[in-house]
Amino acid sequence: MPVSTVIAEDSGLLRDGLVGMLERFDFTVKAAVGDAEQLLKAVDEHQPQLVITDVRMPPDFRDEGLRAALALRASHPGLKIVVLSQYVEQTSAAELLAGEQGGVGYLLKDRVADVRALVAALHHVLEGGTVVDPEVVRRLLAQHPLERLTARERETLALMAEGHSNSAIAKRLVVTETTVAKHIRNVFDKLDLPPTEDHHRRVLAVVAYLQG
Amino acid sequence: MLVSSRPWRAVAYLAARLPIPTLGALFVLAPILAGGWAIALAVPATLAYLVAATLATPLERRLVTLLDKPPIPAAKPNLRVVTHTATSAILAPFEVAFLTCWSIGSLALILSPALLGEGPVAAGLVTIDTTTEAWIAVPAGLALFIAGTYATVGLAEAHAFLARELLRPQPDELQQRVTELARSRVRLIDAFDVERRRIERDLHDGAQQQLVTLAMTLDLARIELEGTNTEAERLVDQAHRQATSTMRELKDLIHGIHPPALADRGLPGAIEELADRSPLPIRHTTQLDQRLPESVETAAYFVLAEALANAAKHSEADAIDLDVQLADHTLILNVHDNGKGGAQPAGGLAGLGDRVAAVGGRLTLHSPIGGPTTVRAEIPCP
Repeated sequence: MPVSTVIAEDSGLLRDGLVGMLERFDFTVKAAVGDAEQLLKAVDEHQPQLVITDVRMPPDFRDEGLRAALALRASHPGLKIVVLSQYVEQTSAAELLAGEQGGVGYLLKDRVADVRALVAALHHVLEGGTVVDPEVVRRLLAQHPLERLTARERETLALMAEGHSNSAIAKRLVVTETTVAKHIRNVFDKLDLPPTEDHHRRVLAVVAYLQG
Repeated sequence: MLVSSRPWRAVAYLAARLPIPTLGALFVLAPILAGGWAIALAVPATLAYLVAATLATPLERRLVTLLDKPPIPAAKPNLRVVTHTATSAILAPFEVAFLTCWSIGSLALILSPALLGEGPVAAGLVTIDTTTEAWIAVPAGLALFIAGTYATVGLAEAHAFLARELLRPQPDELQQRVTELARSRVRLIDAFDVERRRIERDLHDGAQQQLVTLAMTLDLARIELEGTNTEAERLVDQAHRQATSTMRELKDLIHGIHPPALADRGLPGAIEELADRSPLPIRHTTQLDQRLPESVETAAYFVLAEALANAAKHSEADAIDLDVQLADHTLILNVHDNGKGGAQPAGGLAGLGDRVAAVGGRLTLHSPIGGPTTVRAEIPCP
């Protein structure tokens, strides 16, 4: 059963390329348009299963495609949407992926160069899954404060979370208590915990660990 | 002085600048001397001369270079310029008379022994009719020539001085021009940024999309040839890899020209992206909830990008604090690293200082040996 699809991409060359590629993989492209306004019209007209849209399109070349995708997600609940972006924009990704319902994808345009992976991602979205570009995931993780900890600092934090005192941690890790204190200080620094009463910071660090 | 080029330059200067006022003076005097109804013509003649001579002041401004002086800077036509043209016309007949008497008079005296054969020589007030008188006249003529040379140089200098005093721009006019220059510098930078954005968009809309399409088509070809174990398969696979790596390079290039995040989401979005790309962990506090003028955003962005890149490259820091806030119509950027310090205000940072100065702000660098380093920029936001 071919998948009825609508494409929005302002570059004619890439648009034609995408149409040709999708048709090889059993997608039926009902409409291929060049801007967000036409995209909304085409979706109303063809009621496709899948929409693939570029982010940056005429008239202002900002995030017209993303706005249209968000509008379509609200107005057509069953519609599966994949947004192709030239650059990682975390706010855009977050906006699109917010909400419980799946059937949505946020991919970098570079992925188009790997046809099989792209088609697999499209199928995943069609089955109701959520696809986030690996690059987006990498950056989100890099931002998480726990990522800044070294392996030893993590171990120390894990033992703190289990309720061990500094001397108990020192014994477990077979290091001196001074070293443990240094690790803990680094943990506090890296988790942006301001120097207040020690016990309070300890609790906050543990909370951050459990949430992470 | 006599053997130097100065007298000749002075003569050249006077010879070049005297014709217009002299003709003007004759033009005005002729109807007056004619008398009768023609006197009425003196008024339009005066006006015509003043307009023509005022239009010719650019020549006057350049002629002083004959005296080895810098040209007189241009100023808008004003009363002082008109005064200069009027004064020139009044003085011109006397100057011409002086130059004529001096040159012809001294020449006649010097050459009088030779000229005497043709009858008595009349040199101005004196008449020479004997040989003895003629031989006395020779040193007198030389003395007159030398004295006249000094007088000519003095006259030219005095004229140049008068011209400069009357024709140079007045202080308030200078102030206006400084303001105008500062504005034109801002306009240039703005134009430069607009151009960068245009290049970025052209690359994005053109080459970038074409490359993506090319890479996709090559991937399709690769899939078609898969398993054929041919040279074609190997080559297409290679071409696909080359296309994707070119794609990445182009992306970085476009980013360097004008970061898309800055255009689309303003400074906060661009800072987020800078922090994402930085190899060092960055703690950033950005208190900014509005879009700023484009020139300010761009200047601020490039300051942050350069400061972060420098910190990552040279400081050996392990953390960077970045603080951006808008207070009292001033955007304040602080980039602080805990590295080894000793940064020099050269290269990229110096260029940024110029850029910040162009939008009326200032950039300060505090980096003692041993660290830490703080780069601070303050940019006014009207």
